Amino acid sequence: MMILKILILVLILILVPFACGLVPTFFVGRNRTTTPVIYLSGLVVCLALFQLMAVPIVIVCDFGFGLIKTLYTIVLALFSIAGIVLTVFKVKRDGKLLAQASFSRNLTIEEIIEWIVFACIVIFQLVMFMRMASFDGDDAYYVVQSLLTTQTDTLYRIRPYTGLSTSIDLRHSLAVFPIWIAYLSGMSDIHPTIVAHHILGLLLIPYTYLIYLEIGKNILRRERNKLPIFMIFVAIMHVFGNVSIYTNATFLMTRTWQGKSLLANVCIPGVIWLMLNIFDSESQEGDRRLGLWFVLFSLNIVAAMSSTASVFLIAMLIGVSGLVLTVREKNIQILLRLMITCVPLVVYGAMFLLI
Amino acid sequence: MEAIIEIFKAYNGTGYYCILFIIALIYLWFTEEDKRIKALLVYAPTLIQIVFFVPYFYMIYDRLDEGTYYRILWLLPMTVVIAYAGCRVIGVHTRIGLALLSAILVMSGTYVYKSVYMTPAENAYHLPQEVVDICEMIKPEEGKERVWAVVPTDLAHYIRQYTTTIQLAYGRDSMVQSWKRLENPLYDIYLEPVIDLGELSKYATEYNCNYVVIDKERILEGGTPEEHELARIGATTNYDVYRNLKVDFFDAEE
Repeated sequence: MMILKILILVLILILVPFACGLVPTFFVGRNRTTTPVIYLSGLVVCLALFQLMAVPIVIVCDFGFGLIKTLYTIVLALFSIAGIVLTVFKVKRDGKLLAQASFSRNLTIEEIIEWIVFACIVIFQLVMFMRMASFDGDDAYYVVQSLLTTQTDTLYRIRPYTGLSTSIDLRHSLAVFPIWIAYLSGMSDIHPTIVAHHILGLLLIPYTYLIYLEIGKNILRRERNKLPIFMIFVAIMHVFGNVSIYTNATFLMTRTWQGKSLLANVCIPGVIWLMLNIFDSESQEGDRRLGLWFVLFSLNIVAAMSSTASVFLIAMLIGVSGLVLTVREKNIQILLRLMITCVPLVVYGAMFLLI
Repeated sequence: MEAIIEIFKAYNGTGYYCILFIIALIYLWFTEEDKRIKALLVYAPTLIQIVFFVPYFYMIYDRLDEGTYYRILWLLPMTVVIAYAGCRVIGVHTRIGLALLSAILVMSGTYVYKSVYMTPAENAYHLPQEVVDICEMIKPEEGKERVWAVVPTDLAHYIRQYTTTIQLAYGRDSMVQSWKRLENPLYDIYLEPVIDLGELSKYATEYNCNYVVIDKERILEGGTPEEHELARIGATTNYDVYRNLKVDFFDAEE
C-alpha cells in the first residue's frame, strides 16, 4: 500500500511535470532544451495551472476540494498528453530526441570527484530534512489549512488556529499552495502534515538546486569545468546560510513546505534563471525562446500562489532587472515584453489590494 | 531609516555573508565582461539594495505587507553572486581555491542544523510524540462530532497539525503579541506560573471544552481536579489529560 502511495507521488511530482514541461519546451530551441529545463518548466506549469484553477473555486465554493481534485487531475492529464503528442511530432519532424544531454562533454576525474562532493552535500540535506523536525509557528496556519481541506473538504472557511467557522479568508485564499499540498495528500492518501514535513523537501530542495544548476551552466558557459565548484559553494551556503531566521537559505532548510520558501527559493532564482536565458546574447540557429517567456509568465502565477504579497517582490525584481537590461541594450522592447509577463502579478496584486 | 538598518542587520545576522556578497559584487563590477550577466547579477542587485534603504519605499511596502520588509533582501542573488565570483577568483587553482573558499563559507556561516528550532524528528509528522499521544487520547472516534480542548501554550501550535477533529479554545491568534491578538481568559490562565483550577474549570466549561490538558510541572491551586469535575483519563511524560465532565459531547444524546 505504501509503495502505491509513493508511486502516486512520483507520478504527480516527477512524471507528470516532465510531460507537462514538454509543452513550453516545444517552443524552445533544441540547444536550450535539456532534461532539467523540461522538468523545471513542467513543475512551474503544473503549479500555475493549479493556481489558475483553484482560486476561483476557493472563492465561489464553500466545499470545493473534491471538485479541485477532479478538475486538476483532468487538466494535468490533458496537458501531459499534449506534451507527449507535441514531442512525438517534434521527434518525427526533426528525427532527433528533444533534449540534448546535460553533460555533453567528458568530465575529468577532478570534476567527477567535485560532483560527488556536491551530491553528498545534497543527500546529507535530504537526510537531515527527513530526520530533523523544525518548529515554525506559521505551520499552525498553513499546515493546518492543508489538513482542514482534506479532512473537511472546506476551503479557507474554518479558522485553522481553533476550528471555529468563519467567512472566507480572502487574503490568504489567493495563495493556494497549502491546497496544492492538500491535493498531494488527497491523491496519495498520505497525511498532509507528513507530506509537508517529511516529503515535500525531497522535491523542493533538489528542485532549487536544479535552478541553480541551470543558472551556473549559463554564467559559467566558458568555464564549464567550474560548474561543480559553483554548485558546491551554493550547497555550502545553504547548509551554513542560517545567519538569521530570515534568509532564503533558512527558509529552504527549515520551512521548505511553506509558500514563502517557494517564493524565496523557487520563484526568485527561477526568474533569474529565465532572464539569463531569455536575454542570452549567444544565439544558435533555430534558437527559439518563446517557451521560456511562457514559463516566466507561469512562474509569475506561481509567485502569486506562494504568497499573495509576493507579487510585489517579483514585479520589483523583473522591473528592476528589465530596466537595467533595457538601458544597457538600449532596447525598450525588453521592458515592454517583460511587462506582459507581469500581467498575472498585476491581476493578483489588484485583488490583494482590493480585498 | 533606523528601522531599515535594524531590518538589514537582523537579516544579515553575523554579517559575514553580507560582506562576502559586497566584495563579490565589487569584484564582478570591475571584472565581469558579459553585459547580460553584469546587468542581472551586478547592476540590478545594486539598484535593489539602494531602493531597500529608501525610507519612502519602506513606508509604502510596510503598508502593503507589514513586517515582511526583509523579504526585499531575498531579491539579492547573494548565493549566485558569491559562488560565481568565487569561481572566477580562484582562476586555474581550482583545488586549493575550492578548499579555501569552502572553508571561508563554512566559517562565515551558521550551521542550520544547530538552530534552536531544529530537533530530531520523533515521528513522520515531525510533531512532538507527546502531541500525537494526547491527540490519540482525546480525538473523537470516526464519524463522531468534533471535540473541544484547551491545552498549554507550548502544545497549541501542534495539536491541529495532527487532527482538526480537535478544536482549541485558544490558538496562535491569541498568542502572538505583535498581532491584534484575540483576548482569551484561558490563554491568560495558562500563562500564569500557578494555575487556579477553579478559574480554569470555569472558563473551560464556558468555552465548551470537553478536555483539559495541564503541564505536570505547573503548580495547581484552588482544590483538586476531581472537585472541579475534571477526571484524569491519561498522561504523557509531561502532561496530564483530563475529561471535563461538566461539558457533554455535541452528539452525546444520539
